[in-house]
Amino acid sequence: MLEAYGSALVYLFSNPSSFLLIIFSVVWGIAFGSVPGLTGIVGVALLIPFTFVFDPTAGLLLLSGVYVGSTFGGSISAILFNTPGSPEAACTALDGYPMAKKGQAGKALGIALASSAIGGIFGTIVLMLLAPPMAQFALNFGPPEYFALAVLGITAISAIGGGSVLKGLVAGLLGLGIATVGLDPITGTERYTFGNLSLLTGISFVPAIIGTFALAEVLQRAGEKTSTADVITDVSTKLPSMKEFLATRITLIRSSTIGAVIGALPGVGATTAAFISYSEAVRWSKRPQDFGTGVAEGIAAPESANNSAVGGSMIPLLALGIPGSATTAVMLGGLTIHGIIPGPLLMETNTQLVYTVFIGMFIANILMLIFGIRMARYFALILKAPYALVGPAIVVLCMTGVYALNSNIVDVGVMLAMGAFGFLLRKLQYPIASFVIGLVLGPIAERSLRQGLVIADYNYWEFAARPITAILLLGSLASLIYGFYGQWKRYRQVSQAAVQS
Amino acid sequence: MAHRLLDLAFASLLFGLSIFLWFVADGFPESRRFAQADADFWPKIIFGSMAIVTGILAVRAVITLLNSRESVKGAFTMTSDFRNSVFRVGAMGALILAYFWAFQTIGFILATFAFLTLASFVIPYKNNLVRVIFAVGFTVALVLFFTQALELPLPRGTGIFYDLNVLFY
Repeated sequence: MLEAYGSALVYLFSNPSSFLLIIFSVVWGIAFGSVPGLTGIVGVALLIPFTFVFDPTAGLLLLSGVYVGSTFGGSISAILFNTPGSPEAACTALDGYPMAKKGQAGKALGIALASSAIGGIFGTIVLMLLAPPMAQFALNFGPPEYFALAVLGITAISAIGGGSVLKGLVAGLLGLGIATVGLDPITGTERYTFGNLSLLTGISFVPAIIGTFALAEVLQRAGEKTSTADVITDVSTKLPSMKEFLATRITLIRSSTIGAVIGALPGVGATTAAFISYSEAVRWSKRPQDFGTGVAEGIAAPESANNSAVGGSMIPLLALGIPGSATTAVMLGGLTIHGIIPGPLLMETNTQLVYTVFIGMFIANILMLIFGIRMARYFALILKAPYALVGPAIVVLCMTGVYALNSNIVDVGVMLAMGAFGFLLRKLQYPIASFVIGLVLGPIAERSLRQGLVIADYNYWEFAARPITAILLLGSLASLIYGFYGQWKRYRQVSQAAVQS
Repeated sequence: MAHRLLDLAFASLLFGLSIFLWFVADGFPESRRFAQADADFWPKIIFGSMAIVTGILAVRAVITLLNSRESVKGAFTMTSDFRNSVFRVGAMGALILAYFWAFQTIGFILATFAFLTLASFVIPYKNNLVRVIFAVGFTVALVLFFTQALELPLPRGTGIFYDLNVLFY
């Protein structure tokens, strides 16, 4: 292995242009990640034709740099405008934007950036050291394990939001319900399309998320007497102090681990990793009721997880030839065009390419710290503009981005409908986080549960008794009980305080 | 009071909707092979649970309303701030819908310029010149970014507007 790393370093230093490529790709990725609707997938796809100019190693360096940059880029618009640039940054908006509204936009961006870099470096180290065994571990995940993983995220629904547990549950169930629209994943039966052919493919996730967050925010701000844009005055980007950062260390370790493991699972990816990490951060927090009001852990958890998942999702791609996420699926296409077939043999026959990419991703995460700060500073300057200009511009950008993604006007309609729905949910104090978690994890939970039951011949015991499934389900149950116990304890404290006063 | 009524109305609506969707799921075509975990399996769990929870929410909202009706008599008075806020949200919503329609009918350039200019009047702001300059500049920048830099398609509208937009992208 050391020999392989040595040869990779020789390649990098004998081709100084590789460093320029990494810088360019990170900046490109951050820019694409921060524009709502465009996402890293588009950023990677658009660069594939340009990789022909370079050798396969440089081409893959370019694509992986975009992947790293775009995963962080989404958090910039999520924090500054409550408009997630990419789906994996949706969770970051839940606490990032409230923190920015408190006048701490710089701190929020700094936490997001530092957490992204730490998560990204963690994921890359896991990729460097454990790619083959992790790939084998990922192969142990069948439908029951995926279902248990989704349950782990879903069980946090009731704890999120800090308000009514019942409203949290309703919001989560609404998300799960909306995710059932379209063709049934197992039998192909039409569900809740009511004869509308456009709904056959279901409710697209990216437009739904952008509508729920961005459009609902613009409507909300339009209704306010004075624009709160004036409140967001701290537009500098600074890394959090060591004390602030150390306070989130447990969250960072937990979320980076979750991110790397979930990233390594084929077909799940950074978005799921971010939501499950956020759920776990809420569950294990001593002050879960503060989540959604602008707490550091609420930013650190999803950001470290989604960036760690980048490294994780490269594991099944390179070691097994199976894409771990939508972006790596596009990268797989790019590799194939160059005549490289990812899989177990690649790790043995093309060591220079594989290990150069590992080191390149490591460097990309460090460069992200440098360029992320600069780019976030420029973006943050937009906050100084009056909301009368910024608000409508966000609507235009969201509609254009969503339309350009698939050239599909129905996606724009979905975004508008979800925007109105998100606005209503906010007004009635239903937690948006629970709704979005339901929307993200619903399809995974349903498909895995039904596939798993079919495989187990509808034997529920056989389904749940597989070791990883049992551990995850018991973990969900234990943390659910722990969460309810905490809520009951807080309720009792409040009641006692009320009686005493 | 108005908020509580709205809460009750929303919970009741969701309760009714959940029951309706549960029955819709019950009518999904059956598959013999997957009979025990058919297309209705998951939706029935979701909408059944939602009916129970929203039912509890609705009952709770009724109880709260009944308990507080004495103390909130006359609480329906609408302040001018509230009316203005509702008007602004309504106006922005209407403009967004109009933009959605114009996006497909008259094409991206005209629709975007008109939307940016009109929508900037919904939120209080004084400088009219900046409104227009920003609308023109942002529209041009987006057209160039999407059609020239990214080579991604933007809507061209229909009829004469299509011909007009073809001149630009």
